[in-house]
Amino acid sequence: MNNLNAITTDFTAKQQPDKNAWLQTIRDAASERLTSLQLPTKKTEDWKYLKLEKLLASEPIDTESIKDLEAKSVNDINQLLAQSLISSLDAYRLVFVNGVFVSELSQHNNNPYSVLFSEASAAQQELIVAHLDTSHNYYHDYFSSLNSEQFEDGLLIHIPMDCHVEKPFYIVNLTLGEQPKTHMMRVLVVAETGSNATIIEHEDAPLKHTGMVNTVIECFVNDQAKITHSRIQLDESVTSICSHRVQQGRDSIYQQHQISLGAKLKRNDLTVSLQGEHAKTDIRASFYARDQQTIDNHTCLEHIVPNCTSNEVFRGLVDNEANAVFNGRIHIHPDAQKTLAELSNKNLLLSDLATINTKPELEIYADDVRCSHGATVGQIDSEALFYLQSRGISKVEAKRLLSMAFIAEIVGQLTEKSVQEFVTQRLSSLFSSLQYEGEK
Amino acid sequence: MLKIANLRATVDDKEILKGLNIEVKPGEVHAIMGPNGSGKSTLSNVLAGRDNYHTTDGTVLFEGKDLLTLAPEERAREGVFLAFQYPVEIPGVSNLEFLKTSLECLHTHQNKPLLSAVEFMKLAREKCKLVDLDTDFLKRGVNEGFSGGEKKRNDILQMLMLEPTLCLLDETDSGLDIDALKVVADGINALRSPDRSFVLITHYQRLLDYVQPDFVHVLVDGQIVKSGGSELALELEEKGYSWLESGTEQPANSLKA
Ligand SMILES: Nc1ncnc2c1ncn2[C@@H]1O[C@H](COP(=O)(O)OP(=O)(O)OP(=O)(O)O)[C@@H](O)[C@H]1O
Ligand SMILES: [Mg+2]
Repeated sequence: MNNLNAITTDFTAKQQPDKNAWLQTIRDAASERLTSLQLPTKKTEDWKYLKLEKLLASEPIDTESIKDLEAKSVNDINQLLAQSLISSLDAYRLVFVNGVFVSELSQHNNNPYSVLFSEASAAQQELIVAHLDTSHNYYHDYFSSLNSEQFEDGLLIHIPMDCHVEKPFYIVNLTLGEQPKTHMMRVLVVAETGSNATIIEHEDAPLKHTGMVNTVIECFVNDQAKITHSRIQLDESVTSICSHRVQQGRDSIYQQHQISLGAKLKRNDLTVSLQGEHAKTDIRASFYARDQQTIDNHTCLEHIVPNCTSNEVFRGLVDNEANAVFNGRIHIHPDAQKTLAELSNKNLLLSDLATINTKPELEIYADDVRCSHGATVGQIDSEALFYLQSRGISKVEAKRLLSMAFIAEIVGQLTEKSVQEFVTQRLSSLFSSLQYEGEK
Repeated sequence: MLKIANLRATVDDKEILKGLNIEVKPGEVHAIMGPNGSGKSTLSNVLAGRDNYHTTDGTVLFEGKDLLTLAPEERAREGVFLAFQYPVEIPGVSNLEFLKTSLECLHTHQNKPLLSAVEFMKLAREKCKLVDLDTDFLKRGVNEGFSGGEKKRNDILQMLMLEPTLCLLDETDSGLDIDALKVVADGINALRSPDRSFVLITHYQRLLDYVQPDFVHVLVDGQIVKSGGSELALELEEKGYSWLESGTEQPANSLKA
């Protein structure tokens, strides 16, 4: 049995928990889908830039650091983990370690809005069943179906009608230790009509342990609701596949800010479907991949009804021998007249061996729309580099400053100051630990 | 301080500097004037170490060291400063971060103690005032959206912070209004000292009214064709360059500044 088989059977061999038996119909439907779905191959259009077999091969496990960890008490471990959190963020903090909720690390007193699936009331169970896997299900793929079949527990965030939640929700998912090798994260957000909330998701691997995460996030942003969603993916050691589906109602606003570091494999699929008129979508994302990392971003904006606006900006920074993909699709359905859709992807290649495949895809079936898209791939501006050098700054340091600058615009748009600072600090310490090729 | 002998340089295989000689002693102010395209910016770029400029002959000694073998950042750390004719914009890198990094690099190299954050801010504010830039400019991206004159003043701000020993100013006075010209001149004069030298590349007498040069050189077609005292600038203002371009003057090598 090769590593790949080992991993996929590892997925499928898991015992199904009966705690959440009320989810059985959803799981059954997923199992049903899986009989006809297959692990994507190079021939699967959406996955063609990835050598999935190679990428899913298991990582050597850092036994030393695991042994260290096993010797520690739970308290010590929690203390250690606490250091990797954005502690100054005043938020409803919900911390998961390997997909399992850890209440010792969380702060969710007086939080009536979120609940674990396993603790859901009858009414909440009904809400979950009514929403889970219902968002444009033609996007169900292999991994998200696996998630639906096998996730052990999930998180529901439910914002009642007209409710403006002041504090952000801070959802943290940490990967730690040897077991389990793969885990499923499942998040469901239902923002009722006229509600407003901020969600910050933070994925990290504080001890650089390897593992695999399969995440599915579904957001239902109902009429006049507004969700601001920041995602910071800093878990470089973790293979992660994420399917993120958003559905918007009339006059709703969905804003996403995303900062991602590469990994052996990081795959982010984002689908937003605009199903109510005058809905607005705003996506600002930046990624940085280095060494032999791979990051693959697929986004799709489904403009289904008239008069909606979407704006998407992706900035990629690709270093060393890393490989990045950006595939941005805008699909304007026949009824979606007066759509305004903009898409821009700018990339900076920091090394001759780095690669980026960027592909904006427009599919327009309405005639009265304004749609623009652009993608660029460039190198560091040599004039700027010389200017910095001429002030005594070494070439290596100058490249770092210019790399940070490239991402800074997106970081600057994160809504919470403490999150901005945290990300800036992490990025700058990452950049300053790097050596550029051919430099001393 | 700076000794340039028989310097020849090419840009994209085209020879621009054709055997240039200048010697600048500590404390001196030299002005270089000359028609458009004669090679003035080429000279400053060669001295600062821009990489598509190739020297094919000659030597440049800075405080006895061979300047041409040093990387651009090493030249800056040794005390060479170039104010650019066209300062570039660097969005995303704040002026403050840039100045701080730059100053730290220089101080580390010069074995000077690093400034604390508070000391640094105090210094930066003080120098901003000298060049009449609001401290808000420190928070903006380097030259990002600055007007032409603001960019020039920003270069002077850097010069005041870094306190170089050799300051090359390439048309820093061009495009400045009268008040800004005065600000730039004051900046230069504030730094003048017996062990610091200036090379001012300029087209106009008006800067030299404020900063009196010890020597004026005329650069035509990659060579210094005439050198003299500050009165030469006035003569050029009156007569232009054509009387020098005709080749009736003595070759530059025989003139010693
Ligand atoms: N990359 C290049 N390729 C070819 N020629 C170049 C290049 N860069 C500069 N030159 C030429 O070199 C000559 C000298 O240019 P330089 O910028 O040094 O002139 P200058 O004396 O500073 O002029 P100005 O007073 O207009 O600033 C010009 O004729 C210019 O066109
Ligand atoms: Mg010039």
